[in-house]
Amino acid sequence: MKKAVCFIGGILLLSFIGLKVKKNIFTYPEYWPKPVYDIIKNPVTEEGFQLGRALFYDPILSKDNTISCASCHLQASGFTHIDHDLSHGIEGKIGTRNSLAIMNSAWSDSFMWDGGINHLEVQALAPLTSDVEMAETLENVVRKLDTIPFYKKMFYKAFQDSTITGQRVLLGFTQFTLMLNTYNSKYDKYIRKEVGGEFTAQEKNGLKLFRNNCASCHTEPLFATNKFKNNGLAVDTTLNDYGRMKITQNPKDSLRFKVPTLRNIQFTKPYMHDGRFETLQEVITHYTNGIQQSETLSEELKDPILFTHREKVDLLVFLRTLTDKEFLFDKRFSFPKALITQK
Amino acid sequence: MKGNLKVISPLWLFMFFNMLLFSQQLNEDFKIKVSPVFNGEKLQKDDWYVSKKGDSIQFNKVKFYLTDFKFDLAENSQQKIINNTVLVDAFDKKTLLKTLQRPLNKKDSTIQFSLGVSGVLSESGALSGDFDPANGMYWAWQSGYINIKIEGMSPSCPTRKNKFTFHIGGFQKSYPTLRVLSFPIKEYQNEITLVVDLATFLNEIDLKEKHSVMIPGEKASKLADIAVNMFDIK
Ligand code: HEC
Ligand code: HEC
Repeated sequence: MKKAVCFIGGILLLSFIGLKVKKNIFTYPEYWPKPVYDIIKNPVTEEGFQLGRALFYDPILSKDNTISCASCHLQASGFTHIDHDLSHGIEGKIGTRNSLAIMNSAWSDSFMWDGGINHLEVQALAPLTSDVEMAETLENVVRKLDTIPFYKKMFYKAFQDSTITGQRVLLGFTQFTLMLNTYNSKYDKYIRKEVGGEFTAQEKNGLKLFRNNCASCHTEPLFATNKFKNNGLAVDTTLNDYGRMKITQNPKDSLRFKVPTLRNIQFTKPYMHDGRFETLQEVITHYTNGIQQSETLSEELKDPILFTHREKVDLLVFLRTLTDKEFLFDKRFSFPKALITQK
Repeated sequence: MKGNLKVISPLWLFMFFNMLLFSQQLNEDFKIKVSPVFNGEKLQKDDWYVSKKGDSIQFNKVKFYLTDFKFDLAENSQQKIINNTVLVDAFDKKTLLKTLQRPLNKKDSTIQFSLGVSGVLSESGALSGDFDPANGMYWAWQSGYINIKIEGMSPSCPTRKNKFTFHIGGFQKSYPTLRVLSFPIKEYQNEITLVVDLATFLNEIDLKEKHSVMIPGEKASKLADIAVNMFDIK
């Protein structure tokens, strides 16, 4: 009897919710930590995801209609800009930082190298309005989109209402970004003991070295932490970028930067906030030989890291196991044909 | 299973009664009229004004958030005010009259509100309506609302086109910019006129030295202290 009451109550509740919420398509391995982003409150729907995908690839969002998010965030390189140390934007203007890869963003509590953005939903505002990136205003983007029937339809599908607002544009980007999740690398298969995840002795040794020397900051399974650290890079005096201090205005944060994920690291070159390293070999050599002592240098790096030549190679081989081809070539994340055929 | 039910049934009852309560609560209108002035003179876009420091000044943008209106906080802290935010644009008439709804209670003796947007909202992602970032009152590179924008020009500013730009915001503990105001009201009063005198702000600022503040920090926090003095009721 009581069971029945519970059941009916549950059905009532579900039907209330069911009217508003469509099916959530956001998933992740059950042994992963809970995302920071509130997926329960803002589930990802297929319609929202497709809207975000169109927005992400559409150059109409820049002032002169030439640059889209994808101009700087290419799928095949883990959604970052390759072959440029500092990202290029509108009219070829050069920004001051290397673009970050967009992966597993639901687990980040702040964005950008200095963490200046405190919520994924407002992240897109920065590139949209930056003079050196897309140089638009959100107000104007709303106005532009409002004149395009294709988008009116997309917004209707996503929000059951075709009114385009700044909030909805931002939520659209968020829905797409939230889906850019990578957890099918060889490393992941090794952890899950799946076929294709058999580690060689070299890779196993690389993982061990990684866990002993790098994982305190680049922590599994995300290979990142929501912290800002000084990893001993010398200041580039042509840029004078002091990272986190710009946001907090606290000298203790001088030269601290976001700890980026190392997933798909083989493909996200160049490396570091200013793209100063071209290869992973250079990065490893930085950690063994290049650490600059300073007041804010992280505790973890105060003692020198000593690797033999063979150990360096093993670590490198391990880092390559973080490559997730399924993610890098997933057709759902690529340029949507609808942008050409329907718009 | 049994244990669960014990928790669930009172919860349902509670929700049910709450719904009843809210649906029966009686509200009345309370009007906030905002009157932007310069030294008592009505503020007009692109008119010239002269500050106490002798600077000639023109304004082309004056916008600010008033949020979190409350009445007689001590006695009924549970009161629910409907419509309790407004993004005022001194040059957009629609935004100069705001009608709140408060629980029927003619005996309130104070009205309280914030100049600016709370830190909680500044960390809540993309919001709608007055809080939609498309209103241009949200920072792109360092998340958070701009509580107050005052822009214009003065020959005293040694800047390009003699422009001055004050964007006041930031919610970090060390440099907060939200300010709380409260004013007395009389029994049965159901509207106030909020006078915002820009002269109070510009009289305190040396435009030769200080003409643009556009990031959170100490300067913004000090400007907020000056800005709050612009407000008075008539
Ligand atoms: C001109 C190049 C450029 C364009 C266009 C661009 N970005 Fe970026 N993106 C960057 C750079 C550079 C960074 C790192 C900036 C920083 O840290 O200051 C970045 C960072 C990000 C991040 C943060 C990742 C993290 O983990 O912190 C996200 C998410 C992102 N961009 C999404 C977008 C979206 C969505 C768009 C389109 C609206 C876009 N980007 C357009 C260059 C660009
Ligand atoms: C004290 C924390 C810390 C430790 C320990 C650490 N890193 Fe880093 N790592 C960082 C930070 C912070 C950055 C970003 C620095 C910047 O760009 O200013 C970074 C950047 C990187 C990058 C470039 C990522 C990109 O997308 O540009 C690689 C690769 C990397 N680290 C590998 C390693 C390896 C391998 C180890 C172990 C030998 C290691 N890290 C140890 C904090 C750390």
